[in-house]
Amino acid sequence: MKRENSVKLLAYIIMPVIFTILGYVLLAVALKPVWDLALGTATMFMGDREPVFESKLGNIYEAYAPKQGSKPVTEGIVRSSDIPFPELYSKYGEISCERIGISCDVYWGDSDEVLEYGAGNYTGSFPPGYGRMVLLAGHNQTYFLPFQYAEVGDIFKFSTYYGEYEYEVKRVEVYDENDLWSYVVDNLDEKEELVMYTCYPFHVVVGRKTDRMTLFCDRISGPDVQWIEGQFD
Amino acid sequence: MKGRIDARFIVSYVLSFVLSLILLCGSVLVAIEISLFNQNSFVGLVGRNYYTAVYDEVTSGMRSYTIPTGIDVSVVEGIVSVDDIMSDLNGCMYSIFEGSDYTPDLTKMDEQLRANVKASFEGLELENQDEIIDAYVEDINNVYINNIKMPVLKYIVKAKTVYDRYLIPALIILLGLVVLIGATLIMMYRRRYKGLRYLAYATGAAAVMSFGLPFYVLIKGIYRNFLLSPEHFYNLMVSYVRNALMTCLSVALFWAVVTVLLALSAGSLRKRTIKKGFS
Repeated sequence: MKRENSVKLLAYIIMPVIFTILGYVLLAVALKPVWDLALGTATMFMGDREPVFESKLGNIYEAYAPKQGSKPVTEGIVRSSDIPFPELYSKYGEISCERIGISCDVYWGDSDEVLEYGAGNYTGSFPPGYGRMVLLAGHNQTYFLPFQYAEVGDIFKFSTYYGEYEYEVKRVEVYDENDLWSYVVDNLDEKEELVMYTCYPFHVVVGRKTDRMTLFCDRISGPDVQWIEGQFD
Repeated sequence: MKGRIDARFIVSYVLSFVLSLILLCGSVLVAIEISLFNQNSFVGLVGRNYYTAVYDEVTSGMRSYTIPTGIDVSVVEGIVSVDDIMSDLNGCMYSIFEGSDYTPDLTKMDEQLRANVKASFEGLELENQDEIIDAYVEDINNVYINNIKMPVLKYIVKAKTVYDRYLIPALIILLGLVVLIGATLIMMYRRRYKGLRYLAYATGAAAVMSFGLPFYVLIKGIYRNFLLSPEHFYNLMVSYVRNALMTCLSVALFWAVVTVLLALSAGSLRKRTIKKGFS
């Protein structure tokens, strides 16, 4: 009698579990087209992980910069495995040009917030030394205001946490924003070229500024970063 | 005789299983209505923190727009307050619920901004000042309007309209089926407690099924993987979905309680039957 009662009590747990398994299998099979459609749609606004919202700008430059008194790396080869890649929205360098009076921090990423604190490196390009385009943006009323005095032959010093670089201005041009973007897309992987741009003209105009004053610079010194093709894909 | 009994058991199990699926469908429909498509549930999530976050977003957007124009950034300071944002966000939200359009009154902000820009231009020799100010103020107004819009809410309200059209007929059909199957299960047995057992299996299965998937999604945190920004909007939507999942768990709890009550009733009826001399 006792055993019979236990079996009956157990049935209240076992039967719902069996029904659940059967139910889930049945629903999965019967509603497969709906699931597929729903999952396909979900991938448009769902990622693999929880998004990270960086409200505070990081600073890898000071965390990894060579200790005071040690000589900065200005030539040779730096292995990418020996240096961390900059995190999004972290300061990783400083850029300056003594002649025109520019000196500002450089961040990885070019969000509106970053551009309030310095120059932003477009994350589709690379930091210096990787043999690819380095694309920097900055505001024309703050950090890149002195661009209006830039000339061919000016030298920009670009200090990073893994090496010191120098770039020489080869061209100064005003591009329409779309034309500049076409140039960037076509030349991202061509060679190491520092491309810095800011809104143009420098004075107040009616409506939005769609032109960009752009400085194209070639590297004249600094270490190469050895990395494997596809490492950052 | 044995064959007839086996057939009755099989039919009972099948009916009980079908009933569990019907209860699950009904539970899901009701859970969606009282959580995802509940106006009060959405409004309840939009609190002071949300207004403040939108205010920060608006002022930051205005600053970011202003810097490259060459106009002094300080012109946007103090032209809008958290209370303005609260008033316009609520206006926008309720108008979406009502299916009407909402146009924020930007007169005060417009005048203040024009005055600030004019003051900042003093001493500068700009040819087309009025034209510059008109274009700039219009763009800043757009920054404000774009930040208080809630496009996702529009989609939710549209979906709710369609959903509500079919909800009542669907629930009536499901309820009819529940009554039919429930009555059949009870009437199939001379001793009613046996029929109650099958009802308890069905409600128990509905409880486990309503619990399983939402619990898995909650524990795994899949609902937190939304690709939405800015952060305050992402947080709003995550809370919104979490509430919906919690509602499913509440529905599961409801069915669990019903199962326990049915099981107790079946047990008590069985005892009474045995006391009366039946086995």
